[in-house]
Amino acid sequence: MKKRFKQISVAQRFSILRTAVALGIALLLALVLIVAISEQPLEDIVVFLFGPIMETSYLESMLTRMVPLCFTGIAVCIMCAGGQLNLGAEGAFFAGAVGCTCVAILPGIPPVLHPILCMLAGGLVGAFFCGICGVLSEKFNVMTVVSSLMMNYVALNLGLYILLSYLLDTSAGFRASYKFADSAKFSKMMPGSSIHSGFIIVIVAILLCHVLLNKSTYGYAIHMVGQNSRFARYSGINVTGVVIGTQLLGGFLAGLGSSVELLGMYSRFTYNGLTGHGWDGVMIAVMAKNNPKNVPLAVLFLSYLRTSADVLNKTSAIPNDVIKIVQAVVIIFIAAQSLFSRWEYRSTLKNAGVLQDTDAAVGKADT
Amino acid sequence: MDDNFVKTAPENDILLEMRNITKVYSNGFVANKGINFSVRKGEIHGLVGENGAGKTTLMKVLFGQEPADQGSIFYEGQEIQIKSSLQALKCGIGMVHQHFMLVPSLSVAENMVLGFEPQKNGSFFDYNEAVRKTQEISEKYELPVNPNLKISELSVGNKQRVEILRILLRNARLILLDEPTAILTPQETKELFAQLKKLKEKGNTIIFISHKLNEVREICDRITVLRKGEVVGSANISDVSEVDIARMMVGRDVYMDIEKKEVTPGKTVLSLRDVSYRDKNGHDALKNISLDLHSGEILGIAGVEGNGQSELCEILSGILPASGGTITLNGTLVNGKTVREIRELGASLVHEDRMIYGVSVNASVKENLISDRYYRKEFKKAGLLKKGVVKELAEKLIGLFAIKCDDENAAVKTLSGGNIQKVVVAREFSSESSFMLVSHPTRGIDVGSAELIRRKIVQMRDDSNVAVLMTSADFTELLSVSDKIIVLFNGEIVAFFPDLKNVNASVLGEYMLGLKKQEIKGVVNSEKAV
Amino acid sequence: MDNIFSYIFSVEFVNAVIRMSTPLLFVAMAAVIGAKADVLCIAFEGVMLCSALGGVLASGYSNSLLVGMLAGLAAGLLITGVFAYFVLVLHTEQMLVGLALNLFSSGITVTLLYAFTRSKTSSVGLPSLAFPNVTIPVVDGIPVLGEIISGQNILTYASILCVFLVHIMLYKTPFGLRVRSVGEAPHAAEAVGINVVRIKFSALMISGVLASFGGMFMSMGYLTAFTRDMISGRGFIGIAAQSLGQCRPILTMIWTYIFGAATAVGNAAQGFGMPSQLAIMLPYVITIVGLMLAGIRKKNV
Repeated sequence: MKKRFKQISVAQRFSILRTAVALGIALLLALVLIVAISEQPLEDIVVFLFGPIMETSYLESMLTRMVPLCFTGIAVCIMCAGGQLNLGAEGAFFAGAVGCTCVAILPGIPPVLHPILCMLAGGLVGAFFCGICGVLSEKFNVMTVVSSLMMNYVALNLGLYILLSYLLDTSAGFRASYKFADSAKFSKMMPGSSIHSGFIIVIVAILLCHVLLNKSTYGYAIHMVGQNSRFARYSGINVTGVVIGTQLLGGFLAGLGSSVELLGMYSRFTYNGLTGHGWDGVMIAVMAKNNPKNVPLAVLFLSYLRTSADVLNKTSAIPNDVIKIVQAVVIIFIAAQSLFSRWEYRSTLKNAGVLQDTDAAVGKADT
Repeated sequence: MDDNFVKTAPENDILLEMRNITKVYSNGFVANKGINFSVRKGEIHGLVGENGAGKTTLMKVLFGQEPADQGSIFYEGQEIQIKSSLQALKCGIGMVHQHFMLVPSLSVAENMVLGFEPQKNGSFFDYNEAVRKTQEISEKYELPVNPNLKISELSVGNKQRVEILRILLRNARLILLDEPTAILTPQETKELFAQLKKLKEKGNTIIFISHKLNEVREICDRITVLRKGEVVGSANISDVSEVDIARMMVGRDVYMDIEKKEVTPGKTVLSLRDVSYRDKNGHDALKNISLDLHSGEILGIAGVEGNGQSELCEILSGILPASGGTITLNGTLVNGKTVREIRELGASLVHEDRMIYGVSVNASVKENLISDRYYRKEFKKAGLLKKGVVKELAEKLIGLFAIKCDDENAAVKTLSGGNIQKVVVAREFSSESSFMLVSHPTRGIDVGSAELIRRKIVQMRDDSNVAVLMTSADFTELLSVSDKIIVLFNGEIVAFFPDLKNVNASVLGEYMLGLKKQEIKGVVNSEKAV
Repeated sequence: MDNIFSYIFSVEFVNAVIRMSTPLLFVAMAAVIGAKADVLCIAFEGVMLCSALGGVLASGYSNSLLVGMLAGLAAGLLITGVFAYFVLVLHTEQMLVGLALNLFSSGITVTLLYAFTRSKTSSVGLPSLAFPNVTIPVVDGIPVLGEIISGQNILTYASILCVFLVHIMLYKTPFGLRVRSVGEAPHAAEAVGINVVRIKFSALMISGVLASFGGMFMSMGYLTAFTRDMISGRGFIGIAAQSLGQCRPILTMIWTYIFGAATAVGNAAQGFGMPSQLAIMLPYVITIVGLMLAGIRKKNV
């Protein structure tokens, strides 16, 4: 009993250490880049590290940024838990936004009903695009990674086509849709701030997904299918249903996310291309280890980074592509499992009380 | 230590000596602890022990696939450091693994020279030379193979032959065989033993790792028994009986025979009428199978792998659709039903491939134990899983089936093979079914776990009147557990033995190889005992 | 629609197809090698992006095509090397590393672009060089065929040559034998003393070289500048082509040209009044349909 406790905390210790080192290296890299490129390195570093909390408007910007990211984060969590590496949240997000816009510009729909219909439209469109990948995988044996990547571009172009052909408001000064009806938009939760009622929706969504994946019987089925679909099938679980179901649900959440974002923050559809929320969702799911309850923390981290990059963008000339670099490094290091495996191995040996010490013996780690 | 087990080798006769070998895996599992193991020149030495006893680890250390944490190896009197399989081969030590180390899409010749490819014209592969080398070694040891066939086209016995030839090509003098007969027919086993004797005559030394004690007795000169990572003892084979060896392996008495109650079979549970299956290549894997299975009886299915048993099992479980014929379970037609529907009709299914179909290795023991029933109302409340109920069930089953694990939350991958199968069996045997489909229930499992599982099968028949259909490649198992046996050959039932009094391995073997065939008319096993 | 059909059978169109397929072909061959070695490098996007920028920057500053090419290769191989290290040595999930590297490349190329040219979108201001087109004497005199076969970019010829080189390497050399065995049965390879990691690493690096040429063609052949995110999924299409071609070099080449043709048709259709987005969508839709058909065939076999 005691030995097992020690072993668990060894593994946990290393997991925390690994995460901390990953973050550390990533931040260091960002700082190095800033110093190299910037003309005012010290000011820029301060902004990079503390930007979001330097002003209320920045803080609000960070918080509102978190909403769509939480949606795509949980969307990818669910799709991956079902065993599919579906990268189509990006396309689903964009297409969902278009779907939402179609309903949002319609006049004459009563207030509370209107945003609900918009969100439903966005969610369903998103569900379609990701769901197709599930169907292709189950019925046609197509690798979900490839089909979802392709669907992203299909969703983007189809969406743009619909925007330009049917939704375009030529009287606006820039490429945008018609204005959303007032009845569709979300009200602000506090006057004067940009925090909108979409916050409540996303919190509910996260809770529901957490319960679904971690506590419900359907969530159990999802886990079993994701871990070993042949075993799940032999035990009687409807694998096809679960796979398609998880993809549909993930796509729905992504489309819902973009709808909430549009209705809460904008008055027109103004996206010109893929927004990156879907890719961020993948990253968040990785950091959250596919568990919805970890998503808010991961999103907070990412949003903080993004916001500070935005602030930096305003106050200096550094492109915020720097942040992409930081993010990439973080993912890689967090995901790299064997980083400390050699040290872990020695530690375990000493715990087992078998060895005095042998340098030659600590060879390849057993992964 | 038992008095029968005594070191008997004079020192200068020893080819291989492993001294004080200790190996601990990174998850803390002590696989070998202070093992002393020696092999004499020119002998066939059996290495015996339960799963998890440390045999495969010891051989991996010898063959350079795992580094030992402590200890040394002496070959022909000299200490050697083996850090890779290549080094081991250079010393003259070759290993034929249980799971073949061959590349399926490459030809025999290509596999033979892999790693030592002959070249021509600079850096091009000289295929003809590879073929020539293959034929040369094949003739030298009288082990014929066709060098141009792809490995995927070979029979199991022939694949093994290629494996042996390959290490002979590398001039191996010490040959390790890990469970070589696990997948062979009786005929192929006979051929293998003849080949091994020939190799021995040509001066090779062989280490034979096996669970099958009767074969160990037949072919080996001496044996060493391992238990829980340590050596229990070594002896000349003539000095010990199978029971002695089993007792040493498990640490207690193991009964080879299973006591069965006299039970009279009841109503028909499972009916197959003219069931056939044609696979994607147009090959008729099953032809007009008609049989009945009654409650309270165990029907064993014997047959060489590839003669239809796997297809039959997959059709009965709903994984494959039958091409023709009907299957009725408890009065309901099974054709076209999903796996879940079949299970709900009262079936329990134990697949032959437990690691792929039986468990999810990353999930916990308790998660694996409820995979067939998690959706039922006793586990569900408002869509949520009742964790307390699950835990209770898991604890109960772990106790009933003596599953060795840290607790119900342990990941299945941390368990030994025998305990993993116990998880499968615990789940399937506790579902209150009326029909059990059990495929190779004790394949690759230690004697202790195998004994428990066989007992449980008989218990289901005795106490719960379950109808059991069991496929197995283990004759002892088939003959001791089954009440009746059918033999499948080429997709057809070629023999039915309602009474096993005069049936033994050779009798079964003849039918399994198609040398004999009974006149089978009508439905097999259709009479009900009154 | 008459016009579009006559266009499709024109020399111009065929040349456009060949041009568009060149980078795809490089990546597809890279994917074939990777797949045979069982390392799916989803980071080809990033490799191509970095090599595209590297070639442009180096050739622009050094005024030498050779230096540009070497820099492009170095940049691409750097990304490939990082991928190889994390996947083969640290055992990180290859999808994640690949995606992260693509993201990384997207970020760092724009950052460096900005650092060197003060522009966040394109390197047009920089006098970077391009790979030359090659005229084959005698052949270029042949009507119709001559205009197609001769006058292509040198990298285009190289890409077709690569198809055969890859085939020979995989099936006629000991190295290729080892690559196939470590991809299909790594335990078997290990058992005979082959260093699985080293072979996979070498295979990855070779595919990295091929992908890098694909990237360099984009910025130093197809166009003559680097623009942000200019690879637009070509890396993934290359992987799809390999998947459809079932890792057989020649079949993969055929699928690659089908995609190139789809892209060219899409471009042409825009000129004839087809909405641009639908035209752009064409190659992606064709990929999906192709994968579906391949999947049906696999199920029936």
